[in-house]
Order: sequence, then structure tokens, then C-alpha cells
Amino acid sequence: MKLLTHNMLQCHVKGVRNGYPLRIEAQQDGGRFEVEVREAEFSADFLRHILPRLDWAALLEAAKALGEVAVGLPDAPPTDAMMHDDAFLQTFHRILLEVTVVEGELVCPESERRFAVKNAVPNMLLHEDEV
Amino acid sequence: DEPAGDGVWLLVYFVHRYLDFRRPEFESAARACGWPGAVEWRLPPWVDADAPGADKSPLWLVRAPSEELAARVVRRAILAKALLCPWGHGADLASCCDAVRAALADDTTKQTLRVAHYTSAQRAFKVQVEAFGAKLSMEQQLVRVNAFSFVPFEGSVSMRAPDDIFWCVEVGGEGANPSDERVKVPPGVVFARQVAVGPRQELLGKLDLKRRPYLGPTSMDHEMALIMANMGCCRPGTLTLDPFVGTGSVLVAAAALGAVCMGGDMDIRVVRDGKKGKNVFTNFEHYGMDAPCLLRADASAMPWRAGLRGVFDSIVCDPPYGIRAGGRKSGGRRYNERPYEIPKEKRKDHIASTSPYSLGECIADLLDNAAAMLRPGGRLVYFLPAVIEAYSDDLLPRHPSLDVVANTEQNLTMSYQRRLVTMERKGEGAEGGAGAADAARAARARTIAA
Repeated sequence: MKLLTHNMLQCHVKGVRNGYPLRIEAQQDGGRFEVEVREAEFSADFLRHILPRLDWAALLEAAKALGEVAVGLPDAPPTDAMMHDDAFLQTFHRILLEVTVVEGELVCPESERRFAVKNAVPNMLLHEDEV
Repeated sequence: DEPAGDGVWLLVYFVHRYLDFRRPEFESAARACGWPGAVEWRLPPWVDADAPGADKSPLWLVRAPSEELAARVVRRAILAKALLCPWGHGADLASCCDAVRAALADDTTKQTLRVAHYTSAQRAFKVQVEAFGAKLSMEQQLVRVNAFSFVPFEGSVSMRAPDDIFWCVEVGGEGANPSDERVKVPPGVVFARQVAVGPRQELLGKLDLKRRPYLGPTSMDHEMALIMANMGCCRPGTLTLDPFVGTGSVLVAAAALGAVCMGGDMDIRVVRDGKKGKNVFTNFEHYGMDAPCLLRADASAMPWRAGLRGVFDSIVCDPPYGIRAGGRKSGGRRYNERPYEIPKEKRKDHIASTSPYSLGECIADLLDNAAAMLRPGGRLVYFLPAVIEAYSDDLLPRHPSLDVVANTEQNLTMSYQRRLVTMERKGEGAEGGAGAADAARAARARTIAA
């Protein structure tokens, strides 16, 4: 799961009022938490295009949860000047599109419902009694 | 009768496949390349527009803002064989030669065609003979090449590495088999300079399903997937969603055209687990494409965060209609007389049951999702199954926020067809923007509740 995906997802369990953003955590039992950097083609156009549609605070929080592999984002959304600065764009690209959560869990901030991420695919499907 | 105003009339040479899709695909590819305004077509002058089979003509004139832009379009349109700059055309070889002679005799035309440049001593060239719907012997091909020997080429002939390739394209002429479906088009001959060739050789070979590591019974044919991705205007810098990703064929095509890809599927086994250690990611790796964003989710209730709108540039998919793979949505045993509650200890690895998902519901959800999640101008491309006898355009699902821009048919059997529907998200300012979409959704929810 790339952080771009994480930025778009929330917990939709019936009755949950604020299921966003999902916390990224290690799996409860085995404690497995794996993050990889999977190379992706850099496109400054794509980054500039997607920026206005991102929730910056959620991206920042997710990056912090992943630790060293995802450091370098500013606290406030990047300025126009930064979006034309190659060094910054490279960092932004890596964190949004290359850093991949391979194993872990996504946790709803309100209900603590846990969604598993396995082999880089989050399972967002709800149980019968949650819809 | 030549170009009025700006632009230049160039000839697109199409393959004789998916006839209905050829011009819409070009038009979408044109849009993806930033073509200004609508694409203007014209049949070659020797074709009577009212003649039977005229619209099946493999050759179409297009008014291009520039050669360079049209070349970029053709290089991504999978149904285009080549883009040609005609030097002359006629109903047969003799009249075609006369037309080329007349062009060479006219100073203005000579200048427009840049004849001096393309015939100069510095440029190696070759002439390639194409017989549409016919097979010509070497001798017959030579007759055609020699017929154009009056063209004052000063450069040398190079079969291997020519700077310029000239095409003699003959439609329905000598050697054509009259029972061949392809020759039921008005005959004609064109002599033209090649501007660009289509991506068929490169892309169809590369993406051939037969050589793909991970496949399923419903994997979309790679040629059709590329048409779909073109209809969706997939290109670098854009984000494409396939909510029914399956083995990922549609997204592979979107990625081939440069889009960043996201895919959802109800069935985790198909997407993540795959077969024999191969899954959707394996296909992308195989082609050297970036891994797509994948998630397990229900297309009838995508898990997007509240307030997320207009994030996708295109949604391209082949929804599961129950012909080869039935549609499912979440809920399942929830709808039993006594709703099923999952015991606490079983929640963690619980595999939720699903319930059938009807065609109507599936499309309504797809259109709603598209209206909310496409940016203004973004495109929804999807297949709609239809009974040929019963289909009429009135039956096409509509949405207040989406305009139909193309609706092309592919007959599968004598009685069934599938239609590739392309819709475009209206602009925010336009009537039926986001507000209307939300209102339509609320109205439907009320109807269903009642």
C-alpha cells in the first residue's frame, strides 16, 4: 500500500462518524510490520496534479508512523516554489508513491477496527454486520 | 477543396478491426495529446460518402493542427496503422499518378508538401506498397513502385534505414478477393509520405496476453484494453482507477499509456494471492511498469474518505455482469431473516459473505462513483452488455453529471453485444455538477429505502 492509497481510505463501518485517517500499525499478534521502497517513475506533473487532492495532515501522520524511511515532509502543505524544487519533489515522490507498506494493519481512529495489509494490499472489505 | 484556414489534411490509415472504435479512439488519443477542439474528419475524395461501405474506409483524412501533434496521436492509437501525408490520390493507379504529377507541377502545393526537402539528395528513401484486402506479387508491387518513378527523388534508395518512407496504398484493387469483407469499401489509390506509424507492432507484441505471467478466464484482451485506456485518455501525469481490477489487464494498458494506476477488487484471491506465486503485481513487474495501488474493496461501497472528490482522471473497467463472472457486493448474510453476527474470536480472518449484485445496481453505483470521484473533464469508460435486438440508445444509463461522448458496439454473438460506453464528467460550473450528482444519489437512496 502506497501512502497515496492510504490518503484516500477511511473506515466505513456502520455507526463510525470519523474513520479518518487510519493509523498504520504493526499487526497485533505476530507484530509484523514491513515497509519497502518500491521504485516508481518520477513525474513532477503527477505530483503537482495530485497535491490539491491530498489531505496533507494525514499524509504527514502516515509518514511519521513509518519512521526513517519516510522522513522529509514539511508540516505545512508545500508551497508553489517547493512544487518546482526538484530535491523536494523527489522526497515527496518517494514518500507518496514509492514507500510501500507490505505488511501491517490500518486502524480506525474511532472504532479501533483493524484492516489488514498483506502483500501490499489493504483489505477494506467490511463484514456482513458492519455495512 | 484543400485545407481552409489553419492546419493540414493528413491521412490516417486504420487497421480493419473494431471499425466502430477507430475514429473515437483516435479522437480520445487526440484529446489526451492536447488537440485543440473537435477532430474534423473527411473521407478521401474518391469515396462517395453515400456509397455502401464508405464508413468502413480504412483511409480517413483528418485536419491536423500540425504534423507533429497528429504524429503523437497516431503513436498511441492502437487501431491506427500509420499517419500519411498524401501527395496525390485517385480512384485507380493512373489517376493517382496524375494527381501526384499535378501536385509536383504546382509551386504552392510543392511548397506545402516540402517536396524539395523530401526529394533532396541528402535523404535516403524507400517506397512501400500496401494492398488493402489483397495480396500483391513482387512483380505487381514493382509495377506500382515504378509507376511513381517520375517523382524527382535525388536521394538514394535505402531499404534498411531510409530517412523517408513513401507509401502506395491501394484499396480494393487488383488481386483483391471479392468475398473478403475488407474489400467491400470503395476502391482507391494513394501515394503518400509516412509521418508516423501506430503503436501496434510495439505495444501489441509487448502486451500479448499469451505471454503474460498471470491471467484469469476474464482477462481483457490486450488490444481492447488499449482501446479502453485510450478512450479514458490515460496518459503520464494522470491517475486511473479500475474498481473491478481482476488480473489487471485494463490497468496494464493504462500504465502502458503512462497513467498511475489504482485497482480495487472484491476478490482478494484474484488480486493479491493470484496463482502459483503470480499475481497482478507480477504482470506489472514483467513489463517493467510501476506497481499499481491495489486494494480489496467493494465497488458498490468504495472506502473513500469523506469529502474526497475529483481525484481520478479516468475510471476504466469491465464490470462483472454475470456472463463470465457474476457480480457480488458485500452484505451477504446480513440480508438473511436473522442477520448473521460474527463471533468476536472469528472476526480477524473472517471472510465476509457476499450477495449477488445486479446489472442495474452495478451500473448505477459505477456512475455515481464516477460522478463523485472523477475530476471535471475526467472520463468513465466501461462495457455494457446488450441484446442486439432490444438495444436502443434510450436504454443507455444516464447521469446528470456525466455526458456520453462515445458509445461503440462490439457484437459477440448473433444476439449479444457489448458496448464500450465513454462518459465525461461535466465541469464544476456546468449544470449537473457535483451538487446534482449528490442530489441524484440521495433521490435514488430514498427510492431504494421506500
